[in-house]
Amino acid sequence: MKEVELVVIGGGAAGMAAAVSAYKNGVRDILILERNSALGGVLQQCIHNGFGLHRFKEDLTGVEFAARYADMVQELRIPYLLNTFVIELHSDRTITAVSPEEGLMEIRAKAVVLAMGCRERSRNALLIPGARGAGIMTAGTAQRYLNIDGYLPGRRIVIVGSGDIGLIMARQFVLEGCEVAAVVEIMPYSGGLPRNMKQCIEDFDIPVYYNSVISEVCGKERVSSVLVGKVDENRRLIPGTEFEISCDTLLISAGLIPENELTESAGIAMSRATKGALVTEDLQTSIPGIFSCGNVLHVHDLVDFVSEEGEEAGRNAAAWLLAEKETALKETASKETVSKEAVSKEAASKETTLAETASKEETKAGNIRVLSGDGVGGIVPQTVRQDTPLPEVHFMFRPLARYRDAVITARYRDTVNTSGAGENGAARTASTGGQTGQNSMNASGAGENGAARTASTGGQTGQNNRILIRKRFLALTPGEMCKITIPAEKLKNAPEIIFDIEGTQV
Amino acid sequence: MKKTDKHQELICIICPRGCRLTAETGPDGKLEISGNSCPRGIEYARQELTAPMRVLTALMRLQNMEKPVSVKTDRPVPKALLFDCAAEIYRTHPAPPVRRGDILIRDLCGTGCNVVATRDAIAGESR
Repeated sequence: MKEVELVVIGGGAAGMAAAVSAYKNGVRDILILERNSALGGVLQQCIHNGFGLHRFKEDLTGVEFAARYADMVQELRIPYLLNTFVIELHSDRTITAVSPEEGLMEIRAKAVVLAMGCRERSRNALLIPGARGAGIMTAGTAQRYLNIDGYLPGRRIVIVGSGDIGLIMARQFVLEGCEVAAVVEIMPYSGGLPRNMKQCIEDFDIPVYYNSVISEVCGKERVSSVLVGKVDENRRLIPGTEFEISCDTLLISAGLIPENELTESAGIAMSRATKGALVTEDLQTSIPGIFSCGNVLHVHDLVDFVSEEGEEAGRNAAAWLLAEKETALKETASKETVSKEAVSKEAASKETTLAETASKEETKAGNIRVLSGDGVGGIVPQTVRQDTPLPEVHFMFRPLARYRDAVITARYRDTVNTSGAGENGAARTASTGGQTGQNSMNASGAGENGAARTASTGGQTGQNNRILIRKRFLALTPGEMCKITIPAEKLKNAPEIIFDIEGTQV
Repeated sequence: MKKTDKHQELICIICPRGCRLTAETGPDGKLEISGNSCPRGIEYARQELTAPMRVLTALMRLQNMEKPVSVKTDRPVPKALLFDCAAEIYRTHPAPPVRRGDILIRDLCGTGCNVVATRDAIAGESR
């Protein structure tokens, strides 16, 4: 079995950034596993610009953004395996993978960074009824056919959902000489960034139907038309509102789902809100030494933030590996004073496991829970360790509604109520070792789903809200990722952290 | 969007934040822009209301190569010329190899902008 200090699963924006940053923070034995035939992930097919404005202060195309990181990986000579598919990740951080060159392989990793990204929500997930002819695909599949393989998937296109990939593809299809007949969106507003609505849809006068769904797909061998109908406030089709749009292609652009099969196979505790792993502020999952970042942790809008998170994960993994090494050295030095050289590798690794368990139990008690209050969904990280070595903590989440003149606050309640929230806290502190996964998933799931929300309405007595931070925003939209940074110093005495959005809902 | 409007709303496309801008034309014809989070918003609104510009990204087909190479204009081109510029890109078929950063068309449609490859395309190399 191959032994590697740090294995990064996924060679996209998050994975490459994690590997580069781990290297820069002292890790030399790194291996990136990528299932595609090139590094870069989905960026390989993103030929449009608008990437890198934060990270590189330059307007780059996705392809160029990927190349920047791929160049860094090459320059640092960080090893990577392409066409390599990870079949399973085990809770002891061993990895089973397969590739045409190496065949089946087992890798034992001291630390792992999960950077598998996400996949698109499919037709089946949307339950679009009707014929099953050719010409129905996700927007990302069409993007791959066109931009990587050079095949135009159709001539007259209807797009269901107004996610960013669909909007970007609408523009490209129009410029390629195709007709985009309609964008059909179930919500009363767009799911994509405002700038993409402007430069991809409005610029080309593409019709958008809000509060609408595809009620039927028609056509035998290939899609020939779709029926579009209005929905009521419960998102149910209003009979009699349907009309037909002829098309030969139906693109689905209705959101992304983190690709966490490996995470779950390892028994890592998951968040129902983000569909990613539950993590502490250093992006570490419920299994020590396994970190998660990028779109596999939670869906981002911008690759700049994906790579930023990847860099964070790489840095934290490096720090964790160093701390583990030091603990192992100390333990062996104190126990084996006579024959230092005789310490076998097995013994050392056994000590490491013991040290891990001990340190995990210690920190469990000092965890600060991070909760979603009013108007906040899918917060990451879900817990902050009270003794965090990080100077500041980044929190990311999405607003649940559209706001004007909004204020985001982070607060904690001076006296934490002992009912619902207390139980969750207890469950989390009590859960250790192998059981961690299940228990803390339940505990934190309940917290996410509204323990804080009910408390925040102020029904409890004897609670004073202490404000940690207040930030004003001109406007917030449900699709938009909010990022709030709080110095760790400020969080030291907080028993919990609750995020709320106040403002005029529009 | 009519240019004679006194009050116009725009979405800034310079960065992903997508600020909602308001442009008011005063009686003296002076343009007042608000809603921007940074100075680039003002610049964008002025440009957008006089001569809108866009960066064009597209695919270029190469000689004797099945897979296309991705390209971009090195600066924004007039929005009104987007289709002409795209047509010129589709008409051009350079011979591989093409390297990232290579200029494939100079002075695209008289705009003064160049078309630049955004990736390598080397015959026989998979991606």
